Amino acid sequence: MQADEREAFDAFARGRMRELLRFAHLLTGDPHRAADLVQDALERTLISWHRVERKDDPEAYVRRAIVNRHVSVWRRTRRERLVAETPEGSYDEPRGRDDELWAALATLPPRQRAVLVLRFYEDLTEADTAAVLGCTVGTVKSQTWKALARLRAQVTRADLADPGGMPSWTR
Amino acid sequence: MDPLERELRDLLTSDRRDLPVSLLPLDRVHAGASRRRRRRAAVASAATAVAVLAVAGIAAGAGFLRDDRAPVADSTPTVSRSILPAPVPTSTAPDTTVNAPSGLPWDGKLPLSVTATSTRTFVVLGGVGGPCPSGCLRLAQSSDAGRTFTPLPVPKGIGQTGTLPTTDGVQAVRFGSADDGWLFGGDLWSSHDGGYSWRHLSMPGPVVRLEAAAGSAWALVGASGDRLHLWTSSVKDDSWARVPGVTVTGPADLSVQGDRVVVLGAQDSRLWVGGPGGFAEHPSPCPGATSVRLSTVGSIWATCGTGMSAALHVSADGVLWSDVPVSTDTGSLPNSILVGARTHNDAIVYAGVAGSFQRLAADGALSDLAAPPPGGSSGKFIAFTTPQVGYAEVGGALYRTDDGGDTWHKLALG
Repeated sequence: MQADEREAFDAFARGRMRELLRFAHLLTGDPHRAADLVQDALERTLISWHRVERKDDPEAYVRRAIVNRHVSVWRRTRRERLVAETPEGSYDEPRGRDDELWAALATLPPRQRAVLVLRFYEDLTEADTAAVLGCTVGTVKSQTWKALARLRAQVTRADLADPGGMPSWTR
Repeated sequence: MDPLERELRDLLTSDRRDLPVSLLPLDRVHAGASRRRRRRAAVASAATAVAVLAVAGIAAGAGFLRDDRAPVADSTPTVSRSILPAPVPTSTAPDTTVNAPSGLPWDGKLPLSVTATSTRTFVVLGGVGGPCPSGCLRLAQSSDAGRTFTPLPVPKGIGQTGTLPTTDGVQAVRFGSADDGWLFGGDLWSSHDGGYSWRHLSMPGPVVRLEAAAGSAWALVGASGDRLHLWTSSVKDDSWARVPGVTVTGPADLSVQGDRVVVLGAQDSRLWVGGPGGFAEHPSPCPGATSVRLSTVGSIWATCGTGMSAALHVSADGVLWSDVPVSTDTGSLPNSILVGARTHNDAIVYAGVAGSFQRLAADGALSDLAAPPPGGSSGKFIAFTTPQVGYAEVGGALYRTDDGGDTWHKLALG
């Protein structure tokens, strides 16, 4: 790797590390798995940096890698390791008013959780979300609906009850 | 807007979900990318070799994956590595006669050794210490940073074939990847399926140290007298072979970080630094010591025991060493001090039965920790897998830190 390429990658990674870790944290619900995911994605990006850099949007590349790796690792782990589902969360997880919703989020399958993060945190359109996840817009819609319904069924706060009518996230 | 959706947006955009950037040092990314490149190159080379063999119709023996990096530049003579016959495993198929894991994984055993394959996944070996009959060891794996443990099988025969007088055949565990691991001590056992089955390997002497990184495993194996030879193998198979010329004397230790291997013998005036490309000798930081211990994360910390006290040294490369001047109430560090290297600038130390866990800076300054493990007991090890995540054994209990050593919590092993 050329020195200038390395400098460019390091500058990118340093500048976006906080956001990438946060993004992975939202996907996984666990700080250490988030760090592992970001490391994996950055390693892959670094190897292909000469190609990725030319496309002007390396961050989108890294985020796609994070999402796809998260979903595929979860699938493979489920298939190969006959162990109990690992609990989400960590020892130093901050406590707050939204803990119940955060805990409910942790119970979602990775694909549903990824859809919610991409739609409500990244603010991507359904089409863009579908592109990142490599699925159809219809799948994004159905996964979003299922994820919200699952959350709604778990939270106890009355103000988060089913509002009825059309969901506002449709666009 | 739906209140749930609004709450979800608030939750996801809350600052409370930010993580410290220190959770992922950039040098780890570069090291990982280098490993990936080497693996790709090795796979490509292997594919090419298979194609050549198919065309020529010839057979060849297995060799090592060599690193294409240039040997370490040094004025001292180097020992180039050659391929010696590998030891023959005592069984050609994985040993399936294992003690099936049952009940609680721990069953009252004491943690003897910990090895981690990621910040969340690690394996603990436990036992009663000292000679014990077969079945006295336990292996358990956690995939969730120590919240829960799953028992792994222990091979039958452990505890019956050991040769070291103070062990029961196995005294430590190491994993070089999620699949490839070793139990070692008086005997050497290997697993290539994540610890679910084990195969006994016949080595010429006890394996006193074994470490793995960057696709290679390295071991210090006892030879005649108090001499130890360095052996190596690819982590993926059991192609163990001696590294010619690399021999140390007396109590010794081994540090492996990426491609860089440091071998230090207490009674030698020089140490060995090298890797797959070859080894070179350099001045030892503690010639004539009675004991040596190396601890490595990012940098190497050497503890040189003299029998009465210990001296500490730190090095980034194993070649150039700096003294760590420590000022304690007694003026010196106890011989039994445990050192867990965290960065080049600091380590977590435990001063033994009469002491407590503290942070030691490379300039010698000692400072207290916010929530250390309890002191007042003997400890076995402090070891970090990243600058943030580390493990310590003290008083028969295992502790973990996720914040670089400031706070430690006890792990419930079962």
